[in-house]
Amino acid sequence: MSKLLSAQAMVDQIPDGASVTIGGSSLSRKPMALVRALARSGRKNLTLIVNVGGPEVDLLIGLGVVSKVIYAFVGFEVLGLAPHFRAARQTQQVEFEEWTEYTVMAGLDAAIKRVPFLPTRAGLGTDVLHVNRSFRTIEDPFSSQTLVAVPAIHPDFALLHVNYADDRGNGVILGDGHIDVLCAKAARTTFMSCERVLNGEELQKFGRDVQVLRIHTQGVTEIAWGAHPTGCAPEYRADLKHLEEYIAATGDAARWNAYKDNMVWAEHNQYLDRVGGREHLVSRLHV
Amino acid sequence: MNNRDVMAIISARLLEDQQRVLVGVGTPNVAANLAKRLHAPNLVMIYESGIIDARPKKLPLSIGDGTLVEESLAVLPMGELFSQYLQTGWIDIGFLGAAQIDSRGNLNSTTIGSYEHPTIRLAGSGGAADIAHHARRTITILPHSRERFAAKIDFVTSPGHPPGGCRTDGGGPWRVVTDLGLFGFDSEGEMICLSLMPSHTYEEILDMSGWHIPFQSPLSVVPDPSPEEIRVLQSLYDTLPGGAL
Repeated sequence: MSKLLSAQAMVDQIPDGASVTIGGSSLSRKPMALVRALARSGRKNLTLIVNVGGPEVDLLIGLGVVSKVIYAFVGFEVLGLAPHFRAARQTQQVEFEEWTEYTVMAGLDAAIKRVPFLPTRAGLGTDVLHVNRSFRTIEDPFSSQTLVAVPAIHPDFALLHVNYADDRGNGVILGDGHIDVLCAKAARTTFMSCERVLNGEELQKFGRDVQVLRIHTQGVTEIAWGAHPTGCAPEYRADLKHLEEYIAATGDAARWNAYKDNMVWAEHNQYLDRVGGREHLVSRLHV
Repeated sequence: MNNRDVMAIISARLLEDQQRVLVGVGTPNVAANLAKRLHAPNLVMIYESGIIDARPKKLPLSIGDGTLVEESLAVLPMGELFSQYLQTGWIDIGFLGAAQIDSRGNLNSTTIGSYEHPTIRLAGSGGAADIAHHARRTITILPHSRERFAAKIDFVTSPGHPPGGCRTDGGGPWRVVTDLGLFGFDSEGEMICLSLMPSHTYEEILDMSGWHIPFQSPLSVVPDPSPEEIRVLQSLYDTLPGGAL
C-alpha cells in the first residue's frame, strides 16, 4: 500500500494543540519544507519536541504558532543564537522546558519501550532539575542511590527529512542519523519527506543505511531540497547565506513580514526559485 | 592570532594521543582537530551526533557536517552513543564551552539573569549536562570576564564538583582554558590558576573574576604558540569556505 501523500495532506492531519517532534539537528537535515507547510496550515498552540533545534523551531516561534517547546538546545551553531527563540524566551511568550540531549532521547526511548520513565544520573546537581517539573528524583529500590526519572515523551507526530524513501515508508539516511529513528518510533504518526522516492528494490540496496522502517511511517513525500536552508549530507550543505538573511529579517517587523510572504507563503517550487533556483543552489551548496 | 586561536592552541596541548574526546562545537572543535594534526594523530574524536573516530579533511562547520561522516570509523545512532558509550565511562575527555563558570566548575549555558525573566536566553544544555556528568573529566573553554567568572552563576546547566570536595569518582571539571590563564581544581574541588597565558598577569585574572582564584606556586606562563602550531591552525582555517570562522 502506497503511503505517498502531499505535504498539504500531511499537515491537514495535524490538529491545533498537537505535539510534534522534529528530526535533524540545528543546521542539519531539518524537514524545513514540511515545517513551512505546517506554518502555512494555520495550526496553532503546537508543542515542539526537539533534541537539537534550529531554524525550524525558530521559524514556527516567529509565526506565533508554538505554545511550548521541549528541547535540549536551540541555536544556529556557527551563526549564533536563534533570534525568535531567544526573544520569545525573554518575553515569556512560549513555555520552554529544559531538557538535555540524553534525557530527550531517554524520554522518547521510554515511550518506545512502553515504560513510564527511564532512570539516569544526568541532571543531578543542576538547576535543570529545579525548573523542569517533568523530572523527578527517585531512590533506586536496590541500592538506595538517587537518580533522575525521565518521563516518557509521547509525540503525536514526527516530521523527518531523509535522503531517500520508498512509497512503503522505508527511509534511507546517508549522513548522521541524529535522533530521527527515535522520533519515528515514539510518535503516533510519522511523516517523512525525502530528496527522492525510490522503488522498494532500489531502496533495499542501501542495506544498513535504511534507518527508518515502514512500520513507523504513515506518510512519505518527495521534496528535493526539502531540508533547505539546513543541509542534507552528503548532497548539500547548510545555506549559511540564506540563514544570515533570515536572521537579519527577524530584526524588524517589515522585513520579517516580507520574509514570511516570500519564503513561507510560497509553494516549494516558488520557494526554490526565490532562494535562487535549483541550479544556483547546486552550484553554491552541493558537496 | 586572536584570543580564540591562542585558546584553541593551548587547549589542544591538553589532549593526549589515543584519548577518546567528545568534541563540542566552536573552539573545542578547532582545538581537537589541531591536536590530531600535531602531537595526537591517534586522538579518537567523537562528535555527539554519533560519529566515532572522525578524520575530517576539513574543519567541520557544525555537528552533522558531512565532512565528519566520510572516513569516520562508525556513525552510531546518537542514542547509542549517549546511553551505551558516554554513560559507561568510555569517553576520556568531554570538551565543553559555556557562558558562565563558578569556582567549582559548574557551567551555565541556559540563561543570563533570572530564569523566569532572563536578560539573555542562551541555546540550552544540548549534551553538555550529560557529558559533564559522564565523561571521565572535562575541559571547558571560555573567554575570561567578570560576568563569565561569577561567584554565583545564574543557572547551573552542567554540574561541577559537588559542595565540600572533588567528585569522588575522579570525574568532573579538570581544566579550564581562558584568554588569561589555564586553570585546574584543587583537592577540595575549588578552581586554581595553574599558568598564565602569554603576556597576561595574575592581577588581570583577579580583576576579571567574581571571586578570588588562588594560584598554584610557582605560577608559570604557558609557552607561546609555536610556529608549527600557528601554521597547522592556519591550514585548518584554510579549509573553511572563505578561509576563516
